[in-house]
Amino acid sequence: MKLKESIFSRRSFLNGFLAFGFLGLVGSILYPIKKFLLKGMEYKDPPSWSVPKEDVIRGIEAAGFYMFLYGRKEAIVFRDPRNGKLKSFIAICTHADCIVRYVPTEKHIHCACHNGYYDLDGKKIKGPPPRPLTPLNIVEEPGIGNMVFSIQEISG
Amino acid sequence: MERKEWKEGVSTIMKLEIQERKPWFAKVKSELIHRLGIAAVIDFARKKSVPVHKHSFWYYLGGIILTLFVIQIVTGFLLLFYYRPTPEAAHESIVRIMQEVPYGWLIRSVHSWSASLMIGAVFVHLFSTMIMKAYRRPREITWITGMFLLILSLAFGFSGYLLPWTELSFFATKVGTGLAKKVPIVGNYIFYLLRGTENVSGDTLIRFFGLHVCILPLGLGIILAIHIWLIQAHSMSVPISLEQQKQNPKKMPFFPNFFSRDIVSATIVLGILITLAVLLPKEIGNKADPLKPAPEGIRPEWFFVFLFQTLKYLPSKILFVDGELVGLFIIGLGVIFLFLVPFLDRKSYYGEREKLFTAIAIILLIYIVAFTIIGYIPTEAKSSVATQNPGNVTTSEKGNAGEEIHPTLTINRILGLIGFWSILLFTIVFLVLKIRHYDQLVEQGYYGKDLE
Repeated sequence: MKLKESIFSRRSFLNGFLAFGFLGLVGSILYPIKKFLLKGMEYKDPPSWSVPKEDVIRGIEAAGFYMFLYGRKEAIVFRDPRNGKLKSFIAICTHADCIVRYVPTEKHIHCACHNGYYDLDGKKIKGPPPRPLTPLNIVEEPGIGNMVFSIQEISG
Repeated sequence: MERKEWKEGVSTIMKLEIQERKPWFAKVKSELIHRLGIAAVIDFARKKSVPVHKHSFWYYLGGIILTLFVIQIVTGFLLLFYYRPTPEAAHESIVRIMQEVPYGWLIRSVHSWSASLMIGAVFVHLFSTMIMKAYRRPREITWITGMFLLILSLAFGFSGYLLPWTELSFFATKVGTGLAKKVPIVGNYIFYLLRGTENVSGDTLIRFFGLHVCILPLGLGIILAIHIWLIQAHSMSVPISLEQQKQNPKKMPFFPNFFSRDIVSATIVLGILITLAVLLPKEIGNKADPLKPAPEGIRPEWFFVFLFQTLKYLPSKILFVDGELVGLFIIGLGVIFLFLVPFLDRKSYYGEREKLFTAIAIILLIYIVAFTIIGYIPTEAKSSVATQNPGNVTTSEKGNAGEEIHPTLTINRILGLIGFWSILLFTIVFLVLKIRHYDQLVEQGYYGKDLE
């Protein structure tokens, strides 16, 4: 029944409330499920990450590079043949999330998944990667301490 | 009055006697049919008939896919008894299945081969349906459920590939889920939904396991039921070219004539499957090490190779947009196009022959086949890198093909295979005799009334 001066009938008005209630109910059920499933989205890169210096040096001597987890992201560290300094990057290829390797004989960084090549500064030389690798700063603690890695903000 | 009652009494006794003479299982059957109320279902199943013409062969594919799917369920259940879905134990449990558990090698190899054959058969089914325009009115929704089944089958393949936790499957998953992140707006959600965490980890493995053994089977089961229901409701489609000839093609009752032929094809498929599993058992592969660069020659499962190869050819930037994104966009458009084929093809809708969609189907088929083949040709760049820097690669990375522990092909396995085939051929001979009997019944007009 709808009165002449009213916009809704009583029934559609109440149905509207019912629909609103159901929407809220569905939402309040889905929200915890979404949060439950997407816990991983809370992840933020840690501001810095320490690795025993000894491990890094030994790894580089054995294979030419050393890999570790920076938080939850794979990272690579190797010795730059041009000046002998250590260089470090997040080892995740910007193309399709593969893990890159440093090739000492070729002096470049290579991703085997889709043949992407980066130079020693992490800039793309060849292949499909759309962006350069994310570099990491290295601070060495004195003595037989840790190496402290931190994410560099890329400018430009 | 008395006489009539006496007569009725006699007829009841006679009826009871007739019932008595039925064997016990026939009685149980009739009682069950009565109590379950499935008479309507049986009638419904009986009603279907299969047109007989020169393209009838393609009608067997559905049955073949169903056979392979049932084999997947059975072997999958068996593998569940030994498989452990954690990064520490997954690979070890696969090694155990392949080397210690009696017939573990067979069951896992059948599971893997059956998956490949099933997806292959699904693709053939897609293209045969598309070329014969079997999607046209009134079977549009059958086609759409079929597309969902294709996507679910691919999801099965994608999730199952990670479970052995090998180097190749680890990186294939990394690339596959990494690509999802590039999808605008929802990409990030899909990425974390699939991986669970930032990297491919134990969380990812257990998610893929849950998908593979619970969520996908449920989803596929439901959609498959709808698909089969619709096929039953609409019966088989006849190609337009035959429909235009106006004379109705001969028909064969689905049950038992076509069904018994389906059983023959299922038996042959089983034979092929066991042969492949014995002669080419599934390899174990190297255990994945999340802290290792991607090995050379990484490649997804064969049914994703054409997509993988397509993405390889795209430049990193196409007009300021990431090449990958363009690739994903094109693939997405392709999938939407396939979903909408029955609605886009207006000529077939009105029962006219449509060459354009046949051409599209053939071009698509050639593209998939060609790119899959190209994906398997080793490129120069790959091999040169592999040979140039043997020094920095650890041995397990190098020996992707060489160091795998292949289950040996023993004389016992060969003898077993020969024995299995003899039983199979024996069964097929008697099945063929049965089919001839059913066909004679049809010729004698036994099913005549139902074949309208």
